[in-house]
Amino acid sequence: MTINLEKYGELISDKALGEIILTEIKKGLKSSGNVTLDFAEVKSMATYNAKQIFGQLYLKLGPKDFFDKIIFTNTSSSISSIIRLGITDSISNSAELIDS
Amino acid sequence: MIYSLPKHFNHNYIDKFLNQFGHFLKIKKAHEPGFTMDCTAINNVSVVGMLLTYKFMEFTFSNSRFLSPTFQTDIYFEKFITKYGFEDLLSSIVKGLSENKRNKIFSSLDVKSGENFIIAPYPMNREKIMSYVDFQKRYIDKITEYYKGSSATEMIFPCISEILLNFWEHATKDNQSILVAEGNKNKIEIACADTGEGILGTMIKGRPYLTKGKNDIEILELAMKKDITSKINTNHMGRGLWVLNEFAKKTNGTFYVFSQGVGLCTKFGRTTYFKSGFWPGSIIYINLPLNNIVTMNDVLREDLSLIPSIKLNLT
Repeated sequence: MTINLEKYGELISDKALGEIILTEIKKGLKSSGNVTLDFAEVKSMATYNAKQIFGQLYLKLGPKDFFDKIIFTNTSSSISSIIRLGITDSISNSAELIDS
Repeated sequence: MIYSLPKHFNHNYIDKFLNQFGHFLKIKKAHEPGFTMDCTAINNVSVVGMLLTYKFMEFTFSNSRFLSPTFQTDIYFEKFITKYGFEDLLSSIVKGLSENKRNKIFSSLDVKSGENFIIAPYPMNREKIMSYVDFQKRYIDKITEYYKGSSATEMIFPCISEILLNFWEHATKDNQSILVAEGNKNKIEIACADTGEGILGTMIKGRPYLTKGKNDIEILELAMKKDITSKINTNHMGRGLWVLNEFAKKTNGTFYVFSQGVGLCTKFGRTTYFKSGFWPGSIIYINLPLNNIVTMNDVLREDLSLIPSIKLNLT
């Protein structure tokens, strides 16, 4: 299943929008097993949204399933960097919670 | 008493403006008589000057700070009011129109694009006067069109993204946080201001142990550090202000933050912190030259080298 993120605009920078995208990805995973995210027209993403969407998915799926089931296409290097940062922050937050 | 605005009200005057007017924003008493703001000496106002004039008026009127205040304007100042799209908003405050009526004015504002482009006041409020999709159509599409063929948006959009998400999320107790911007082919200025709780207040409330025993300047320094957020155990990463400051440093741009009596200024790649006049909430201002485009990748380069190998399935 492919989700074309263009329909949400060129900037992903809204908490409610992040929730909508996350829900759509989760539904796609349930129905198709994997999801291709097309970032063709997306120019930027807030760090908050990267953590909200991809941090959560990474923690839920684990590194292997995340790689196998979440496919990124037309992603700029800046956006993939933001996504990596969001995931890293989620991992360190979850480690802090386990430690505490 | 008459308080005059200067000939040139731009980002270089913010600190002086707060020193001159900030004490009126610490609500001690209401209905103070004899206040006059004289705007007739002004020759030039930038977008941040207009924003602060508006927010000052909005705050003092809605809190009945003055008894029958007077705002003296002239044809020059009114020209700037119109240019930046504040005409109806200012008159709605003076007429005492309800917030609902003012919200209708906001939803009718737009981007002006000519030699420069101007983002008319955009309210980042929690009730969402304007839907996010509408915002994209009105603003982002037009900025993309204006900078067609240039990589400027690689720098502008990450800044707007961080401001939009972090600013209205943190600007509690003020549902009229306003974003404005003005740009041309050489530079872009983005400013936003609210009169809500402010950075110090949210840091002290959200991170009591971290801020305990620290003075106001130290708390602002803490808020600027990467990975320090006032909202722990949320999706906030404490990167919003840090990212903006890094863009300013790496481009030799200018970045100002003012909140509750303290401020920071980044110029020529250096950041300084100082005591300032009072502002109840936060003012964020960034001015980026567009001759040296820096991307989010450049800003995050050092972090990414430290990030463990997180594999993304990129096709």
